[in-house]
Amino acid sequence: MKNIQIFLIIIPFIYRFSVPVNRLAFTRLLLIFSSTFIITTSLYASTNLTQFSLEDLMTMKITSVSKKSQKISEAAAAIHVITAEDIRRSGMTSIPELLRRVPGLHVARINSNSWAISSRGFNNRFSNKLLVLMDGRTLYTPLFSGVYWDSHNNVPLEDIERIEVIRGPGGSLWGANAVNGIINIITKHSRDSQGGLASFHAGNQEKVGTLRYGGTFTDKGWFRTYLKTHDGKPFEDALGHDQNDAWEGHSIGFKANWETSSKDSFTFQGDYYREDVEQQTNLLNGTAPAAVLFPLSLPNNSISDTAKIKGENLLFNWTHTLSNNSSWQLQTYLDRAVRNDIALHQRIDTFDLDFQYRFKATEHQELTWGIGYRRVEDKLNGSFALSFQPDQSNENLYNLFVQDEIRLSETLTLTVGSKFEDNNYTGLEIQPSVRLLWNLHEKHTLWGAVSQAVRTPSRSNRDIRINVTSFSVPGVDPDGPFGPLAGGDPILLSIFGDKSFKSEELLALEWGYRGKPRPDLTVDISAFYNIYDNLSSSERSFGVEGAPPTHGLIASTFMNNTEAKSYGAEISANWKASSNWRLFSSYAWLKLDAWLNEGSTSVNNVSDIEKSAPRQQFQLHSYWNIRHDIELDLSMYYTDNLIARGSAGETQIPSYTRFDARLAWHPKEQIELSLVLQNLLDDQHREIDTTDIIPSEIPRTIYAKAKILF
Amino acid sequence: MKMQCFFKVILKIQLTIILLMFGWFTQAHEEDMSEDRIKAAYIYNFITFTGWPSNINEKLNLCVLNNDPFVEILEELNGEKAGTRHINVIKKETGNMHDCQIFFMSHKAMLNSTRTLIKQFENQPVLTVTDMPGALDKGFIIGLEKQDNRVVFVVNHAAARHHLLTLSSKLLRMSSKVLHDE
Repeated sequence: MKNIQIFLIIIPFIYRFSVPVNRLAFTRLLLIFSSTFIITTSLYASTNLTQFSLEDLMTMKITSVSKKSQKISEAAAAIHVITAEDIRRSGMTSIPELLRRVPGLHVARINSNSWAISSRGFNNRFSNKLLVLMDGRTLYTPLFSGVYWDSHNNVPLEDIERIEVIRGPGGSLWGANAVNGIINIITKHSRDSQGGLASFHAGNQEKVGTLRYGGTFTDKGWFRTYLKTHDGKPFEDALGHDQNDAWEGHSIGFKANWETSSKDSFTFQGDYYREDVEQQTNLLNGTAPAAVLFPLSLPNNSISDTAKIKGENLLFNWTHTLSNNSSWQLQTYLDRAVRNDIALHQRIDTFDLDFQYRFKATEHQELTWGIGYRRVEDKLNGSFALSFQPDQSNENLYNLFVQDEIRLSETLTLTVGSKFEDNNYTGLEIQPSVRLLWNLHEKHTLWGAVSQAVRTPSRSNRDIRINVTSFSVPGVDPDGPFGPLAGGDPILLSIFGDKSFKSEELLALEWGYRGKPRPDLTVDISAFYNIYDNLSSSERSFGVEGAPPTHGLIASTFMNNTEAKSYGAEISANWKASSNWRLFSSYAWLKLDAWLNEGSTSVNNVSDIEKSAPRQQFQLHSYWNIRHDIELDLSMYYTDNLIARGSAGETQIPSYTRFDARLAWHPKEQIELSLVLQNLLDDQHREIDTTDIIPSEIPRTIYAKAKILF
Repeated sequence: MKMQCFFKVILKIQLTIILLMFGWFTQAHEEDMSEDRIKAAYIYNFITFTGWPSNINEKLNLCVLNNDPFVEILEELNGEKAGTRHINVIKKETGNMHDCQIFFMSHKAMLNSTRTLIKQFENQPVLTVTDMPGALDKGFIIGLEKQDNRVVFVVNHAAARHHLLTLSSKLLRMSSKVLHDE
């Protein structure tokens, strides 16, 4: 069995020869690998006694090797879990900000209400290689396969049980889009949120209020309802001018859980939210036909606009336990997302149905299979600046997955699985993975994985047209592409989707180590080598468009002519220094190389990709209980600069270091008063560049919070 | 630029630490008590789901006999937070059992006079837990039992009330057997 492990370790070295990489960087990576490999040959694994719930314990089997139950910490993947306690002590007030804590995840705040988040590179506002779920409901929009983070500020953070973040591909289980990572936000069982909760915080940037009440119905039924309102002030630009990026929103929701027998449990939940999100867009403004507008000079800078967002969803889950080793679950949801802004009025309706069955096939094999169906209907009323052709579409997705977890021996577990997904655009996509988990010792685990994942084309990739800007040229070469034009005629710069856009593909090799070298220390190391194919490129072409009067056209069309390779590692450690002091630290290192296929006329892709990921990220958190009723929590985040070497020279977003502090006092068990300072040492910094909306400076924040349980 | 240098150094330090840990790990002793660890994790949960009268101090004393082989695992709970209070593990002689909020005794402790020992806690706010067979008959409030290669627990709710303790409804719900007032 050791051979398999060694094979997994060796694969990247084989690939190494086909890739030109920075030798120093590679040596560094090699060192990390080899050192972990050496260490793990002498190690063992264990667990913190306080981390299990009663439910966990009751289903846990007694074994000589602490199998701690195939839970997240035993998974052969790079997983980080943000617990409810981490959320409470982070001082963060939104989900995207909370994700800063995850080792290796790059969270860049664009302005007061927008974020760019990605894992292992390719970050921008429309990052499309990350699958984001809340209780199994996808939050990303099929419009561009990314997430409008401002639309998901509706759930109170107090209702979140945990956020599981998997870095790396998860396509074989989760399906398309789980290319570079999965973020799974899991809300609390309503049994764990009984009674009342009132929470309010106010400061120089925002005011947020939450009310929650949980009760019971019938013998084994629990529910909760919540009401949340938030109001965020605008940020400023570097010169201190208001950036018109204020936002406010209100939401209500409920969750009910009940059991009709010891074998059947049900969940029914739903949310409704409205948001008004101000933004400054860079898009061309205009509603009349192009030909009429062109001779006029169009305003195309800093248009202030309010996006009106609203959404609702309902989710139902039925879990049936057949025996200790087998169960099935049925989950279905409906989701509507509406977002109307100056450029686009969009309504996206999703219906999803999933069935999963898990059973013990033989003594050493646990088999899970599932089938799913999803229907997405959208209506996209565009404008001159941004439009979709067709402006309505119905998409049907069918999927099937199988996963077999095989206990090869007492210490080796092999997981083989694949997802088969059929979509309207590219047909059948197969996403297999092979994962091997090696429990070297009770306290030490090594894992390796090879997997394939795809990102299927989004609506934008196929059907979009963006008219970016227009200008006129004084003179035209009659033999050039703009030949028919006369001097002074307008030329339009536009981006087009293409119906032949293919899926972006990833082959990923991953390794990891997870262990508890001492009772007070847990260490998690992961490393990866990713090979991307068919990544999006924007092929440039020139021509003349329209019935007379005609105008020139510089077109950028989405095609699949970019390739990339990336490699990196993430290390994190959690140290319980004493009974009242805990430290958590992580370091992530990433190298991303992209290039264009021969013959490609794409312009900015390579530099856009290369500046999409900081080379290094580091963070350190200290959680200190000064007294039994006082907590002092300090955090420090370092994010490396984002450099792009383009035709226009080198551009960069400088590196920044962020310090946060939180002081909390519990005068009584049910009351928490806290004071939070964020960005202590820095009154403004930029975190990312964007082209479609204007980024703001991220300011210093201070707020006071009161939370009461009743 | 300075920052970058700083992080290169940090990386080097991290690598060094990793290599040093190699030596450190090999010295660590081996543990193989997963059944006992499950039981200890249960005990932690019992503590978090129990309410004591408000007049006890801010520390929860978890008492265990000093010859009980369970001491070693339970000591991992020392200093852990349960609700707002911290757990304080105390090793005790049989005769001197005051100050306890929780008392655990394993079947390995081998004691003939369990009943006399338990009698000391009568009407005191002490949560008594054991994994001995027939735990509730012996007067304990919670008993841990092995069932189909899993650990489950039984609760004497009436006894808890006599001991002035409030057990959360979740705890009662999850237990495989609850004894109420006769």
